[in-house]
Order: sequence, then C-alpha cells, then structure tokens
Amino acid sequence: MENKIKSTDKMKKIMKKYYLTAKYAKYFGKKVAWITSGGPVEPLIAMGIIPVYPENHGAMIGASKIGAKLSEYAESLGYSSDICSYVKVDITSSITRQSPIGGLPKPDMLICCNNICGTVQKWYEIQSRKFNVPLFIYDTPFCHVDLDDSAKKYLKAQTKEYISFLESVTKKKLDYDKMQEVGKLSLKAMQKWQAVLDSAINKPSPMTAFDAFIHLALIVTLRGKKVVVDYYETLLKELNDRAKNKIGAVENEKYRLLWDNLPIWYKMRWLSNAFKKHDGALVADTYTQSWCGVVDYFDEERFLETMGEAYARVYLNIGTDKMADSVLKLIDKYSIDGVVLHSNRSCKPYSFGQYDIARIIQKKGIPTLFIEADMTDERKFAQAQVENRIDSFMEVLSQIKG
Amino acid sequence: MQELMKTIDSILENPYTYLENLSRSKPIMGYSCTYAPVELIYASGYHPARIIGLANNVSLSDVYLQSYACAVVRTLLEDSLLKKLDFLSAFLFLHTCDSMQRLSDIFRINLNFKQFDLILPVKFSSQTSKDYFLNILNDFKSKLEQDQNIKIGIDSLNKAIQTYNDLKANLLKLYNIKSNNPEALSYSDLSKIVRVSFIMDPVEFINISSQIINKIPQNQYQSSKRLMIIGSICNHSVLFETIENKNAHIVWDDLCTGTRFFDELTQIGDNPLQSIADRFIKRPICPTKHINPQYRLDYLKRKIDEYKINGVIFLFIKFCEPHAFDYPDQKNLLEKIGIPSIMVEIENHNIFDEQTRTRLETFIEMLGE
Repeated sequence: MENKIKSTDKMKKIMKKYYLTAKYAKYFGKKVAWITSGGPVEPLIAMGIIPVYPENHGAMIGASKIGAKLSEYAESLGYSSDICSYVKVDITSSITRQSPIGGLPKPDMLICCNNICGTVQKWYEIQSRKFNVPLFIYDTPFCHVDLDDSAKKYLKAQTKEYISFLESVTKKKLDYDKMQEVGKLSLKAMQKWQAVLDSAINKPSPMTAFDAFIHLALIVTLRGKKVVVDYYETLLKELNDRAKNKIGAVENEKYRLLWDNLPIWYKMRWLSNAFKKHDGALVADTYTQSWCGVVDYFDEERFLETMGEAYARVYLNIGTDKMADSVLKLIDKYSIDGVVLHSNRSCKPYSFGQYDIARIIQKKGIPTLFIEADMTDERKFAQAQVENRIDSFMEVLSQIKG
Repeated sequence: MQELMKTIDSILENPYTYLENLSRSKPIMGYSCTYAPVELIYASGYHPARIIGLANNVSLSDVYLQSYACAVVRTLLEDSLLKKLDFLSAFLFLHTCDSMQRLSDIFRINLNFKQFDLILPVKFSSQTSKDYFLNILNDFKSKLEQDQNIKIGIDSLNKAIQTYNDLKANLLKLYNIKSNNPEALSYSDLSKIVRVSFIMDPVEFINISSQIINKIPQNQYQSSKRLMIIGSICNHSVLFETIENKNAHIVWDDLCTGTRFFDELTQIGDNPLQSIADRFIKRPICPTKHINPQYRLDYLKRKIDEYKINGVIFLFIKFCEPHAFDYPDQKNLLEKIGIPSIMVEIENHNIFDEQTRTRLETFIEMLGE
C-alpha cells in the first residue's frame, strides 16, 4: 500500500457508480438481489438483476473501523458475541442504516450459496424474515475428498431450479444467449484476476495481498460485466510496468509471505507496516485466490451446466488436506518464505483445520505465524500481542533465511 | 422403576464400557448427530451408537482446534485422541454445522477410523434436494454393503425400520406421559432414557423402556409452570433437577438429545430408503437445515400451543452458531405472545455455575403460580 497503485482511483469510480445504481435500482426499473460472495451471480447479471453483496458491505464497515460498534448493537438485540461479525454488522446496518454508504438497498430477493459457510444460510433466513422477500438457497455439497455423481447431479438440477426461481420473481425469461455472453465475460474476468494476482510472482512484487484485498471488490461484485475485464486489463498493465521497472510494493522486499483467511479489515495499514518494517511483503493470500481458483472447472461453452460443480469446489468448500495442497502450490508459485494464518473468530470453516494446514506447511520447512483476530470486529484484536508475535516471527524468519 | 433407572444410570456413567462389551459381538459405528440413518446402519450389521464426548478436560484437542470451537466437537475429538473410542469399527459424520464438517477432516487426517461422511442437503424443501437425499442414502447403502460384504434387502431394511420405530414410539410415549402427567417422571430421568437409547442395543432398549412405561404411575397432576427447553445437546441432569425442584416441569423440548431424535416414525413399505429420507424431512429440523425461513419460529409457536407452555429456557452450548442465529427472532416471538424466556450458555458437561443456578431459579419464581 506504500507505493500506491494508480488504477485504484478508477476502481473507486466504478464501485461508486455500481453502488449508486444499486441504491437507485427502483428508479431504473431494476430488481436487487442480495447474494453471498461466492454465489453464482452470473444468471443475475444476465437477467438484469443488480447483485448486492452484504459481505463486501461488511468489509467496508470493517475498514471504516465501525465494526465493533455495529456488532455491539446487534448483540444488544440478542445476537451472540461469538457469531460472525459480518452478520452482526449487516443486521445492524439494515436497521440503523449506519455504514460508509448509508446501508444497502432493500433486496427484492436473496440468493444464498453455502459454498463459503453454513452461517450464510442462517444470515439469509434472518434477512428473508426481516425484508419479507423470497430466499433461494443454492446448496453446494461439501467436497471432503471429491464430489460424487449424486452431488454433481444435484448441482446441475439446482441450476435449473435457480433459473426458474429468478424467472418467477422477475416474471421474465432468461435469455440464454445473453447468459452465454455473461458466462464468458465472467470467466475472462477470473482469468484476468488470476493474472493480476500472478504479477506478485515478480521479485520484488508490484503488489501485496493488501492491494489484492482492495482490488478484489470488482471480481466479487461485478463479475460477468465487461467493465471488470477492462479494469483488470488496465490494472495488469500497470502492475506489469511496475514489475518491469522493479518497483516493489514494499521497498527492500526481502521476505515473501502468504496470508491465510479473510483480511483484518480495520488493521490493513497497520499490518502492512508491521511486516514492512522487517522488509516483509505479504505477496499472496488464499482468500483472493478463491475468485479464480476454480476457473478450470467451468466450460465456457457450457457455462450453466458446469457452473454448479465449479462453485462447489471453491477453497472453503473443500477438505482441509486439499486446502493445504492449494497453500503448498501457492508457496511454490509465489516463492513464499513464511505463512501468516489469521485465526478468525468470525469464520470457523476457514479457521478450523488451520492447525493441520500449518503442520503440513511446516513439514516443508516453511515457518508459520498465527494471528488471532476477527475480520470486522476490532474488539477482538490485541495489537501489542500481535505486534510481539510478528516481531518474533520475522526474527525467526531472518535467522532461517539470513 | 428405580431399578430400571439404576440400570440406565450405570450405562450412562460409562457408555464406552457398555459399547466396548457390545463390540465383542457386533461391530459398532459411531455417529455424530441425529441425522444418521440408524435403520440403514443397523440393517447393514453395525450397531449404530451416537457418540457424545465425555471428556471433562480438553487438552489434546487444543493441538487441532481453536479455543472458540464448541464443546461438542472438542470433547468428541478429545475422547478419540485419548483412544477411548477404539472400540468403534467405523465412524459416520453427518454434514450439519461448519464445526462438525471440519472435525470430519481432522478425524480423516489425524485418526485411524474407518470413516464415512454423509453430505446431507441443507435445504429440505425442494424436489432437487429430496432427490439428492435419496441418492446419497442409496450411495451410503452401497458403501455399507461393500464394507460389510452383504446385500441389504427391502425386508431387512423394513425390519430395522420397525425396530427403530418401536424405540422411537416408546420415547414418544414417555414424552406424552411427561406432558400429560409432569410429576410421573422427572425430565432428568426422561433425558437419561433418551440418551441411553443412543447407546443401547435397540431391542434391549425397547424392552427396558417398555417396562418403564408400564411402571410409571398414572396419577394426573397438572403443573402450572410448564416449560420447554431449546438447544442442541444437553446432558445436564443437575440443571434439569434444579429447574424441576422449583415446582416447574419441562414438558417438551426441542433438543437433538430430545424430541428431534425420535419425533416422526418411518413408513414401512416398498421403498424403505425413500421412507427414511421422507422421515428426516418431516421430523422437526435442526437449525442447520432449511425448509423455509419461518419454519423454526412456526414450530416453536405450534409446540407452545400444543403443550400449553408458559416458559421457555434456551440452553445453548457456547460457540454453537446455528442456534445462536435463531435465538433473537425466537425470543422476539415469545415476547410478542407473552411467553417469558431465558437463555443460558452451557458446556456439554453436567456442570453449571452458581450464577446460572440463581438466574434459573429467579426465572422460574418469576413465572408465578
């Protein structure tokens, strides 16, 4: 975040326009669907429905450092301090309209895909009751070892069910040619996003995971639209130029690190600096890879048919040992010296299993560091303790690497 | 009656010893929750046993799970790591919550059980999910047939269904007795009877529970403080005794160590697997499953009316998210219909602190006569 990426301003404008369109959707005669971040958004885009992402909104709230305040309000309503803070800030914001953008537009429907956690099912049930709008659950069977035929059949059948649901809510038919076009754009965006992340293979890396967390917004919210492909092409060009000119995101990059789990939104700059002072650069992460990691499971020509299986294979919906395999591949690909694991009290499916992943990584001679926190709720971050842990870890790393 | 309860107490004091003895005559398949198709497991030749961790102190599992994992997964893992479950020939994980899902991975990576995973659908409302449910039961049946080197026919499956229907019917009878005649049987004993049904040989259990039913006095007693408890696993006899000592009675529950296990029987017919799937869809769902967003609130309202409940106690295991998410709307519903409620966080052992005891006693006193 030190050497600022210039394209960021363009992204901010795109996101501002997107949120304005979503806010005034009714004025444009459009319907709004709230959808989970890993959900199959492409049919919504093809049908002209505006997708809105409460998780992206939660990240904004976290980055604005009001996550604890909004969580506390939800707790006063009876929500436990131990549940996901994204849910709590969303519940609060939907009542009080507190957020950097004054709350999200009211949904006409809710689309919940449980490929990221079981929490989203409960979250969307709550909001379905509150807003009295229909809820569609796209159920992605968990893939401990592999997806069996029954699961694949179920996923295909649900895609048809999903389309029928959307047609029934909008009273419009899906245009399959348009769907194909959106599918292609979505895949192209995923490929471009992968290329953006892969620019970090360069030494020094022209971007960090903290940059990826910011630039992720477009692939999450607008994939399937041409503007995403165009933006990532612009960004990629800038990153390639930086790589060519050896402009690193972190000056004096010496130690290349990998981040696991969601970002700690309210401590991005602080964390970036905490590693930077030791010449450490977090060049890659498991989180942002989730939006391009399954691109090979899609068939561009049979997008709808292959969509379900691809979405069921995302990073959070696979077994812990498979996650560890993915991490090892990232370590190799991005020449990683150490791994930082955010043990995230809000996200149990991401955090449970991390101890096994750490052991598998350590066996390959790569040191690991655990930071216990929460992605949005700053009450769960003990800064002095984290700082000590980072200092000790970087000291060990310097002894190993020299 | 007292003698029969002594037998049950002795099994529950050390369920693993009972199962270890049983394992000498029959292979035992442990399972993690009430969505296990026990009839199918039983028909395959395994004795299905629901394993609820017993460990009072958790230390070994800290190497695998963070402190913010619930006691259910931590104690189950602890007992496994302590090799207390070595009598099991296999373990079945059911896909319910995120924590249990990851525990399955931890078992597969670190322990040596023969392991099965039944990846249940999350939604039970659509035809696609009903078809999927039937397909995965068929897949599981094939795996069991291969594992046990047998063919599970319709007759043997129907026979197993009949056995478990008899077991569940007895539990339902006991709950109805308790509801109609709250003094006849303490909830503490009732809860023990349910828990022992997870462990015992089903035929042996049907025998003992039938004897209990016959021995219960039939005096009618109307309680003015009729309570319902809601949560997941609850083994807290001491807590139940505290509640019922205050002239209140727990006449219904929505627990997976309670009615969610046995409510609804399975049809006997030409397609027993379909019947098993149908029964899971018809029985009261746990919060990890979805029928419609309103379902759990409607269920609560229905049971309050049906059993004339005038107070609700939520007993939640710390860090159990699915129930925690449902709670505020359940609480609001109860406030709206004028039913007092209290929420208590527990671990999954039979212990609770003085503060909790005082809160519960105050709540019950507050209910009036």
